[in-house]
Amino acid sequence: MALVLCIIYAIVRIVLMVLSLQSTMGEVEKLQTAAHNKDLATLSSGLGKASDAIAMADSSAHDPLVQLFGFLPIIGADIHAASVISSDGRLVLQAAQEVTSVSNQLVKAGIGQKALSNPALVASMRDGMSSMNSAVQQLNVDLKDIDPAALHFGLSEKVAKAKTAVSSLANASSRITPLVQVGTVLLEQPDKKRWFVSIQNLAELRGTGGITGAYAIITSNNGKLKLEEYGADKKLLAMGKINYSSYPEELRNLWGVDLADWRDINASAHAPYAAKLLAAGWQQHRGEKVDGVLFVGQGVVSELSGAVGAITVRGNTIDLKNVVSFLSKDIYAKFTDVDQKNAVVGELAAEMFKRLLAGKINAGGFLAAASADATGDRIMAWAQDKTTQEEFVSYSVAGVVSDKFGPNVLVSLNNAGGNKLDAYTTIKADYLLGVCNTDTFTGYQGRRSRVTIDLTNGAPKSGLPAYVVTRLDDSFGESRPKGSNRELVTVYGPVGSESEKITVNGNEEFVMTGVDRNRPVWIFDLQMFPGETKKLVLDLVEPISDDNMELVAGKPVITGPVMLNAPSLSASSTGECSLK
Amino acid sequence: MATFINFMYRSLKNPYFSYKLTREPQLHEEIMKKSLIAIAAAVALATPASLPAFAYPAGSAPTLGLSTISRLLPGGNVSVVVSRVKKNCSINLSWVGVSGGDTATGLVRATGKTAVLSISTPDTAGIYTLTTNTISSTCAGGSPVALTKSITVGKLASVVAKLATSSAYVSKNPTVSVSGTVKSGSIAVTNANISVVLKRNGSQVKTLTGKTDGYGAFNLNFSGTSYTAGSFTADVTLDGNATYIEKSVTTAALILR
Repeated sequence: MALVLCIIYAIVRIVLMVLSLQSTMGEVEKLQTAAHNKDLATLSSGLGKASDAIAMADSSAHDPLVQLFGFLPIIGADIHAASVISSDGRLVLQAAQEVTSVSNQLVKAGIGQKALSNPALVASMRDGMSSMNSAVQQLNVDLKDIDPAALHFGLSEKVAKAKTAVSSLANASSRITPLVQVGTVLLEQPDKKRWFVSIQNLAELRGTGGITGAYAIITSNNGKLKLEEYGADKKLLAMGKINYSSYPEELRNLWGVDLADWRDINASAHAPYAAKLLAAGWQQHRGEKVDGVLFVGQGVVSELSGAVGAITVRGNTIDLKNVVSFLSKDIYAKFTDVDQKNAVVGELAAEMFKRLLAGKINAGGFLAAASADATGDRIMAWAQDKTTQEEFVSYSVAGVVSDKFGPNVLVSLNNAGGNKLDAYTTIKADYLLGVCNTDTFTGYQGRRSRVTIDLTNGAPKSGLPAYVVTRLDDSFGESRPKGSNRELVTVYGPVGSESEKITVNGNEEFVMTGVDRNRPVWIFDLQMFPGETKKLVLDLVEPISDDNMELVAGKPVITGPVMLNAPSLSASSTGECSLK
Repeated sequence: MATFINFMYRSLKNPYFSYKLTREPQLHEEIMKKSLIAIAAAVALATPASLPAFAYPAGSAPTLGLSTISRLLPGGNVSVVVSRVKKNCSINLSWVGVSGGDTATGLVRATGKTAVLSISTPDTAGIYTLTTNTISSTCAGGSPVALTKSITVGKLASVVAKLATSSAYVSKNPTVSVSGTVKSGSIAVTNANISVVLKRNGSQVKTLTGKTDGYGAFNLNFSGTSYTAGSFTADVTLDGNATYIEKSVTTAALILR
């Protein structure tokens, strides 16, 4: 009798879960209409209803008896899927409700244009977005494990659709959240602060993204933002050289760059180095203190373009769909005169900033642009103020190269040809943690690992403008057909790691070596013909113990370059190692 | 620099010089030549060797490339290629501060690279600097530059050490001891020389030496020492030898009241 009652109870709970989920979906559909109409109040109340409905589903999903049913054949997969959607979805909706509610209040308070009356609101916005991003990423990861083909009762199609929608939302969220985190920190500044915005051109790659093609000076003052100045790189170069005496001495020769040159200061992937040089350069030549530096590239610009809507410059209409291609490829074909090209970029950016700072923002366009962004761009921020910098670090937007022990590999690219061919550069990188029971010469218990990189120059052999395919590096007699490029590929190994073998296309390679941020770096200097792919392999021995002889655990992580074409990255491990 | 040139100019305009120059035109030429050499030398000396050649885009300055350099032992070989230097320029490699250390020389080829240059590592373990000669501005295509690279020869060891005391009160005449372990990876570093400097508030109190046992462990007592209250630390050093590189650590502080 008790067993029958238990079964009936569980069935009722499962039915409730399904009904609650259906109710949630109904509310979510209404939300789309509210979002389309930019009706934040309706959006907020709708999210509340959807949250209530999914909370009921979540409650049923967490019932031990329902979870027991998850182990049953046939319907087990359905219950598991419903459970994941209700649990993770609840967190997403709750966070979304908070974000929408705070957004509504911020819009009413005239965010960005009027002085902040309630700074806590800005912090709530940031916290809400951070929570929502974590929830969305978790939902996306959990949904990836669900096979829609194994589901029944019509769930198959719905879950497949949900997977696509959530994947798109996760992409958008991962791009929007850092912008909100940085933006709200700027708005929160109680006193007047000056920010140097380095607008990087990802068609000519550097360690932090791209060459500084243009810049903007923005001031923030208790919630009010103002565009003070805008200019192309030529204006910076005309100011003169930067005194780089504060730059770490051991890094000055590593990439063969001139650190006094505004175009060369960001060869290291550690963004604070470049940020400090930009701030120093501005102070030296303009006598104005720079409180912080932001790095943005075409990807971030595309999101901003979505937010401010289409802009027409000299007969060219630039919107979220064509802005990346326009700024990285088309502009060079349409405006062969460099001054004209710079003027077009300047007019576009000035109008964009004007609209942004005037609060003319389309949230739907912002989301659509972020969702469609296929670049490998990411915003980075640095502040002179220690507390603000710690905030940037805590949100992982500081572009800091970690100097801590652990299985972390980072790959960056520097264009050594002085051209704009990196619009065609792609990279695929894999990091594999291998066998244990080996020691490093650097004094640690270790394991073997391998980093494999496929670098491709996808540029065509002909048809590109001269400005794009130029080679400003000295020729030493090598063949340099049109579309050929030269790349410096930098691999940051884990702290304490060492190389056993380094090859390019199977042949041993001579590489530049050094130490950046306590990490060994290997720099490959590669000539790349148009259409050519080169395979780089580094066999490493890396520590599994730290300086205190304690175990360093963790999953392998590989971070790719900030670049126009999003890198394809993978990391795996043959298993955990233990100390002897 | 301007002052220097001005000085040279004024010297040449000096009446005594003018007299000599009128009488001895060859001397005039010689002095001019020497002056120019002096100016060039001053320019070269005024430019620190560590400065990169002015270079855009990235990678334009000369570079020193190494083949796989990890796991070098004393007396092993390092393979080096110097790149992005003008054809026929001469490159010399040497170890900084190593008397009698190996050297290597090569000419830059048309490709802008030397052939693979091989140089032996020094005879004792340590961290050394490999350097090229100063590559002239003509050869470098920018500012003169001497390329350097820090290279680790030998194995590194990890030293873990802590201070302990028989009593936290100086009135009880405590014995302070330092103990720890020396390992290189999973291998215990045995029979290795250890030196310990005990410090009170950063100032040296006493120094002891000892050896690691068969398990890489050491334990040294500062017996017979009288203490005054303060914060005590110990600098523990594994002496370098033919295999291991010198390594020093400082213990966490121990407070005696």
